[in-house]
Amino acid sequence: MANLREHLGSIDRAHLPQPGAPQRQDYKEWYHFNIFDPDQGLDIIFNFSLAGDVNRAGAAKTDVIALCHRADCGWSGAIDTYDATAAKVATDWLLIELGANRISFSEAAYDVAWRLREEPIVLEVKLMPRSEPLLIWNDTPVGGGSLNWLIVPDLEASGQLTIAGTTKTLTRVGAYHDHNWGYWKWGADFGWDWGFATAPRMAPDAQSVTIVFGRTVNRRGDTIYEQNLAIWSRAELAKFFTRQQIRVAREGRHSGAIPRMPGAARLVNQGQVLNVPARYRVSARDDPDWLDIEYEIEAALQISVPTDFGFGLVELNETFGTTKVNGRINGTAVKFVARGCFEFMG
Amino acid sequence: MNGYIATTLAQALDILREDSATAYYRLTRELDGMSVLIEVAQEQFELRFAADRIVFAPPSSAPDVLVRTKAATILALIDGRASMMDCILAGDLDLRADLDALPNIARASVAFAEGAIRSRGMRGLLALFRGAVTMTQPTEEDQNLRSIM
Repeated sequence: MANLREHLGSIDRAHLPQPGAPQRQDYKEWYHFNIFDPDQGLDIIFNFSLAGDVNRAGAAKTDVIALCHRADCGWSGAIDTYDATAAKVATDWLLIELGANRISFSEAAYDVAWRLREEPIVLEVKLMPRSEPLLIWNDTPVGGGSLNWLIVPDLEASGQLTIAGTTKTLTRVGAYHDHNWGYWKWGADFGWDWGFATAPRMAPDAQSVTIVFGRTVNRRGDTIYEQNLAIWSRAELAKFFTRQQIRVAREGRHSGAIPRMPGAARLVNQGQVLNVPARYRVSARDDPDWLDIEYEIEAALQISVPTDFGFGLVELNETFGTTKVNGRINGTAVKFVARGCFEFMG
Repeated sequence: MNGYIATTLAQALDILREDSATAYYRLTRELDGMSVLIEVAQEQFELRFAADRIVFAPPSSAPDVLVRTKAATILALIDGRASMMDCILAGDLDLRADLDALPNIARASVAFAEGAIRSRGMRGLLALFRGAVTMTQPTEEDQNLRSIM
């Protein structure tokens, strides 16, 4: 079987709209990365996103996002916004450059240099894919638009994170990457739940298991449009549960403080953030395969995105926590506890 | 009226009108016919709203609305580190107006925030304002990473 990881530089290229393309004003695309270093109590998100008609100056924006949760002092980070014309984005190979920020792919690895404009966060890291990618390129309906998804669920990250003048070395820690693109309006009638976790590697060549869950719902969350649970084992996609094979339950409410970004969103929605659950459970059954996931939220932050319909904000709740996974896939028991990341959008 | 608070607010309203006109006009229409006296530290000035125009004027003796606060409190609100109610209860924000005017003031402040979030120009202005506040009122927090929370 072809090793698609070697071709990610081409597969993971950007999908910019053509000049004059219909719905170009609704274009959105992002490259998302998570890095976990449980030994240092570090959870990192960095994300490069484009939105709008990128072929016209002033009609689109680029966001450079870095968020870091440290076990000893909470959340740090920012969203730096630029005009989209400030970014150089290749369309035949993965290469993105904006000032000191860069994402590229060479020698079978992602190279990332990330620096916020005002917040003292600098990240330089190489991420080596450890699993085959999954490409869901079928224009999944979201609201009145559509969304596509490339997932590289398990990578090994090495490099340095400098935060507030302190440099932390990342040595072969776990990471996740996905890339979304499509055309939709924020504030349309859709939301999503998404999350992942990778079993800790007890030895360099130990079997790895990664779970990635995703579902799209209506804005209220009471109608499910689509849901999938993908399981990777030993770098290959081992199982794909979908639709009626999956049950999801939210329990309780996360009791910790949930900051907002940008902070000014608190002037628009002045109450507390109350829509992050305490626990999130996913159960998948496709006899004889089965998997139960219990995710306990330990930290949450809400990113507020202005709707594309006049006033109002769309809320993306980013969370980190502990994931317990238990089941049996293809005759092999699956059982692990790992740091996980889930996002709830509505 | 040439203090940095008044200057910054005037620039913010110009940016709002340019980058988020809907928010600007919603703000002016909610406060149409009102005068708002603003006191921040040593600065005192008044905004008068009439027919979508905002005029900066010297303080009058009987404004419709009084807002008294500190620059650091303004930053805390913008950064989401405190809510309006937190600031009022802590005595860091004093808001006085007739009861009938309070809904208009609330809607106007939301309109301003909605527009500011959508205005690209507001980010640069916020950075300048933050620098000015830090220079005049440095805190221990400024020496370290400004954590979100």
